[in-house]
Order: sequence, then C-alpha cells, then structure tokens
Amino acid sequence: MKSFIFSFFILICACQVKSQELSSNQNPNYKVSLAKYENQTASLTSTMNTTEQDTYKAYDWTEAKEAKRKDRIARRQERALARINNRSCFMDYMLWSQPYFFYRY
Amino acid sequence: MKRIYLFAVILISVFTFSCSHQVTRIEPTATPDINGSWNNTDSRLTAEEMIKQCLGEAWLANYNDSKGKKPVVIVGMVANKSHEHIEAETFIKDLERTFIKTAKVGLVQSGKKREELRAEKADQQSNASVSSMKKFGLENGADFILQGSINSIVDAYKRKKSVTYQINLELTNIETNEIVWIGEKKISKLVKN
Repeated sequence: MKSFIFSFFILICACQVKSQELSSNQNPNYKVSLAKYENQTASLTSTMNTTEQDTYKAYDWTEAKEAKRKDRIARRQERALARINNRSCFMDYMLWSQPYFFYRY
Repeated sequence: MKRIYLFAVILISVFTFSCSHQVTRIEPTATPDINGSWNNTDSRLTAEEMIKQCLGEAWLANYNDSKGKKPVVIVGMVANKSHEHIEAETFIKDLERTFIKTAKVGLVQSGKKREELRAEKADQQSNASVSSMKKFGLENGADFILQGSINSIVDAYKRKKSVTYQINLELTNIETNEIVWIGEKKISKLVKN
C-alpha cells in the first residue's frame, strides 16, 4: 500500500514538472508577458473581426465652395436678425416718420 | 380650347412622372459609379484580388509541408484610415467564404461572435442535457491572424479629383509574429464634377 501511494505521489510530481517544462528555445521569462496580457484579453480582442473607422477629412474644392456659400448666407441672416432686434426707438420713430413708409403698404 | 386641355394633360403628366420615385433592380456585379466614392465594385475587385493572392502564394504550401495540416486563421481588426467610411467586412467575408469553400484554410470565429458562442456554451453547462452539453477548452487555436488596413490619397483641384485607395491584408503567425503574407490592392479613380 505504501509503495502504491509513493508511486502515485511520484507520478503527480512528474506531471507537475512536465507542465512547467519549457519548450525548446522558449524564453524562460514568458510568464511576465503572460501575466501582462492574460487579464486584458477581453478588451484587446473585442475589436477583432471589425473595421476601426479612423477616417480623415479630405479637402474637396466643390464641397469647400458650397460650405463657404452656406456660411455666407447664414452670416447675412444673422446680421439682418441682429439689426432688427437691436433697433432703437429712435430708429423706429425715424422709420415711421418717413413719408414713403406709409405708401409702401 | 383643345390646345389648352392638351397642354394641361402634358403639364400634369410631366409633373407626376418627375416627382415619382423610381427603383430599378440591377445585378450586384454591375454597380455603376455614381459619385466616385467606394462602392460595391471596389469591394468585389478587392475580394477577387485578395483571394487570388492569398491562396496562390507560398505561405500555404510552406505551412502544409512543415506541419502536415491546413492552417487555421482568425480574422483580426481592419483599420480604415482613408477619407471615407468603408466597411471591410464586405470583402473579408468573400475571402472567408473562399477559405471554407476550397477547404485549404481553416477558419475560427472571432470578436463578438466568439463571445456569443462562449456565452451559449456557458449557458449549456446549466441548461443542456449532459450528453448534448458542449465542453469548454476544446476550441481550435488559430495559427495565423488576418489583419488589414485601408488607406487613401486624395488629390483635388476645382472640379477634378483623383482618389487612390490602397487595401492591405496581412497574415501573421501567432506564435512567431512572422508575417507570412501581405496582400495588396490599389484602386485609382479620376472624378470630374
């Protein structure tokens, strides 16, 4: 019985040693790298099988011209609105007092 | 009076037809170029070229000779660094389909689909019958990872624009980090507005 237990113990130890053995030419410090990456696998593999969109904006002459035109229109509208909102009472009086004002409506 | 009626009919019909929305079905292989951006034809041409290069180059024969089995590939990330939104899945899927169809290259699932598979396996551990339950730790490990990038160069002046897309796919040995294959497809277009 004793010899059986002893041989079983030897077998277990041999298995342990075998599992810790390095492959030929394997770096003995591989566990440093393993420890670094084994806790990050979920985050590092989440982008697999996907396309990362890291696009840039290319200059397009026609698009730039159109954007400039839209900006100009918006700026003019803003200026006109600001002029209406900031009109003083004096200006109102001046407008109403002009004789042609009544003929317009 | 008749002329007025005729004119009215023509006017109404022109108005009706000009406002109607029209859809014409076409073959997927015959996608016309509309505004010059990336389209189905570009994706198809890329897939065809990549399939030809990937299955026709030395890495496959070398691996078969040294290991005596077909290589197993996992699909990694493709970085789109161009000026347009391009989904690489359209041509990567064509490549994957060819891997499976030709049975020259094995393929394992990756990304979110792999997570779903593992979740299902975990669910089976407590819900499926013992005989049908799938075990953990028996997945096929990939030998190579497929990664890629999409780049573009744009040159535009007034109404003319030239665009060049460069699509690269690379296969890297996971154990040794050795790049065994780089596929390349360049597409150039001249657009006049």
